[in-house]
Amino acid sequence: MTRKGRRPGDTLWMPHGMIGFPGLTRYRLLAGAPDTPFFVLESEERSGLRFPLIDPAVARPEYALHLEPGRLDEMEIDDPEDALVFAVLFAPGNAKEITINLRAPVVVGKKTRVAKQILLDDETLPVRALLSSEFRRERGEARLS
Amino acid sequence: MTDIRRERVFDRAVGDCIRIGDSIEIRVESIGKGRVRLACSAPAAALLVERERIEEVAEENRRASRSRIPGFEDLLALQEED
Repeated sequence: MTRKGRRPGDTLWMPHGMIGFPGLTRYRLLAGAPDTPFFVLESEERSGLRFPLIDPAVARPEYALHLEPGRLDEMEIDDPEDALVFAVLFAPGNAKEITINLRAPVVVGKKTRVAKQILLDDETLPVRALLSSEFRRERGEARLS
Repeated sequence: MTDIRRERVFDRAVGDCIRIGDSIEIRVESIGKGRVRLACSAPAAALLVERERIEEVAEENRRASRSRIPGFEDLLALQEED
């Protein structure tokens, strides 16, 4: 798989945009640097607009279960295996201060190339949880680079 | 896409409902001191959340877009190369 991410076929369509960024509907999903669990969602329409993402299973293996049945209906994802789920990160430059948004994951349809940020109903899911605490919580082997 | 909106105000009692479109229903569950408890039902794909939660996530997204992390920086450097 190429890391350049310049092929037109790589465009993800987010009909609703990221929450708070309406009207920006075209993104590219780029794999993170080697040996990190990070991904980047990059706008094709606004230069420099990038969201760091992470596979939330790294922090909470059971996370996908929080997706409520039916929430993916309009994305035409029939098989859960076709859905990639990411959590948005805030990373201020210090790994210990990275926070993860578990309340509003980004779901990507692998086949359809349609993506959506979904605000989950579950009020126990934090918008801003310390990733390091999440790792501790899972006693994880995952590493922050 | 044009977005022509309209607003209606209803006087409702406990147990009464309001219907929005074909499939969204809001029922008054109870009324307290300056507060009202509403039960809302909508198709499963619909967002059903307090409005301030959306603003909270929007703010978190804005913060996220200002991120700097080692792996992230490295990746961007890789990209600039082509």
